[in-house]
Amino acid sequence: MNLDQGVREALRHKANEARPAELAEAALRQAKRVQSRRWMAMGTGLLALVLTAAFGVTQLTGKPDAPAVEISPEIPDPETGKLPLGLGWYLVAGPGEGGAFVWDPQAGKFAFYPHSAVWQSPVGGRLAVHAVKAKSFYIMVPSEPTWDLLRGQDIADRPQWNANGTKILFGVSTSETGTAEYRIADVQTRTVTTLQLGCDPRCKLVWLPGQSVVGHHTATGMDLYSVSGQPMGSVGYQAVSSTSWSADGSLVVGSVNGEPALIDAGTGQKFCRLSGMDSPSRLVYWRENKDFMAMGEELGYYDTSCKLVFSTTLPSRWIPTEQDQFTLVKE
Amino acid sequence: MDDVSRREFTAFVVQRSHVLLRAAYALTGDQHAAEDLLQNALAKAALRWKSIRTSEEAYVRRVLYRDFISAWRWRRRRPEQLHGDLPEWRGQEDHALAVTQRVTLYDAIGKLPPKQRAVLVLRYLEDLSEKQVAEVLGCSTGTVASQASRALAKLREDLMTQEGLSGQIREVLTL
Repeated sequence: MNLDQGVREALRHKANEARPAELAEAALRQAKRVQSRRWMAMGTGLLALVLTAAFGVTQLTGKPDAPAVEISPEIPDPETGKLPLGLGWYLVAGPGEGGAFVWDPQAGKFAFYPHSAVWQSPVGGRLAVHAVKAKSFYIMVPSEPTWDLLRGQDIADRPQWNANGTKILFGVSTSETGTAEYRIADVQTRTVTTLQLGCDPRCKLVWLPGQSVVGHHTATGMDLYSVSGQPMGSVGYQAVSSTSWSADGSLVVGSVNGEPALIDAGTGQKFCRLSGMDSPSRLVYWRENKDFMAMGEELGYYDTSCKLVFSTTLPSRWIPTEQDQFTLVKE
Repeated sequence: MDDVSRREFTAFVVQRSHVLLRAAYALTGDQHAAEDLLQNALAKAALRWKSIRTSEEAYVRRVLYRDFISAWRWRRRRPEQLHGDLPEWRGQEDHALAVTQRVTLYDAIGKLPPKQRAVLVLRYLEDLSEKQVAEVLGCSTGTVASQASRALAKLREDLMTQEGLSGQIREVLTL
C-alpha cells in the first residue's frame, strides 16, 4: 500500500464510522433562529457597508467610549492589513470577535472597537457606534463630544450613512407595537428628524442619489420619502443598498420582480439581468459609471452590459450576509 | 421558507445528508462536530433555498468545506478531537496492521491544517478532480495541487518521525 491508498482507506474507514443523524428539523430550526436574529440585528448593522474611498479614515482614539486597541490576529491579511478584492479594491474593516475593527491609514494599522457594531462614515472621521448591552447608539467625531442618539432603546434595521457622511438613517424599535420608527440624524446641525413611513414592522431603507430622498422596499418596488418624511411616490424596482447607484445616478443595481438586474433609474426599466453569481447580491459598489462590484457569497465585477468580468470567493467571515459591517477602500 | 421549499429541503436532507455527513465526519473526526458542521451548512442552505442556482448538494458541500476551513470560527468553537494512542494489536496480524495503519494515518491527517485536510477529503474520499476541488474551496487548481502535495509530504514526515511506530507500518505508509 502506498501513501495515496493509505490516505484513501483511512478516510473511507473513518467516514464509515459516521452514524446517521436526523438533521433536517434541526437545520430548519437553526435557520429560523438565524433569520430572526438577522431581523433583530439589522439595527446592529447587518449588511451595512461604508465606502471609504480616497478620503481615508481619521483616527478616533482617546474617547472614553471607544478604547481603540491594536489587533492583528483577526485581520484577513496580517502582512498588509487588507484583503485585496481585485481591480484595486480592498476590504479594510469588518467585525471582529467582541467588537469591530477599522483600518487606520494614518497609523497604518487596525484599531479595534469593543462595541457590537461600528459604522464608519463614507468620508471617514465619523463613526456611528452601537453598544448593544448598553442599548445605546451614538455618533463619535474627533475632538467633539459624543452625540447620543439613543439611550435605553434598541435600534432596528441597519444604520446607513448618506454618501457625504453628513446624515445617518436609522430605526428605533418601539416595544409597544414591535414596529420600528425611523429617524435621520444630521451630524452637522445635530438635529434629528422622525420619518413616518408606511412599512411594518421593519423597513429596508436606502438612500437615493442626491441624499434628499430615502426609499424602503415594498412588495413591488420602493416607496420614496423626502428627508423630512414627506411621501414622494414610488418606483417599481428595489435598490440593493444605498451604494447601488452609479456615480451619475442614472443606473441602479437592484431587482425588478425579484430578478437581479441593472436598472435605468429614471424609467425603472430593466437594463440587463445580472447573472453568474450563485448567491443574491447584498452589497454593490460602483467604479464611477463603468463597472460595479456585487457582493453576495461571492464577489463579482460586472460591466454595464451585466457581463461578469470576474468573480472571486470571499472568506466566510467577509460574506455580507454573515457579517455586521465592512469598509472598503480603493487604491 | 414556504411549505413547498420546506418539503423540498427536508427531502434533500433525508436523501443526501448521509453522504455529506460522511465528509463532515472525515473532516472533523467526531460525530457531534460533524453534525454541527453539517447542520450549519444545511441551515445556511435553508435560508437561501429558493435562490440556490447550482445543485443544492454542491452548495451545501461548498459551505461545509469553507466553514471547516474558516479556522477563526470553527476550530475555536470545537477543538479537534483526535486519537491519542494507537490501538492494541488484536486478532490476525494482517488485520491489526491494517487497522493500525488507518488509525495512524488518520491521526496524522487530523494534524494537518484545515485546508490541507479538506483537500485530502475532497480528493480521496469524495474522489473529486483537482478542478472540482478548486471549485468547492474557491481557489485555483494550482493551490489544490500544492496543498495536496504539501499535505502528503507532511504526512510522510510525520510518520517518519513518529515515535513508537513499528518499522513495518512506517515502511508501508511512506512508500
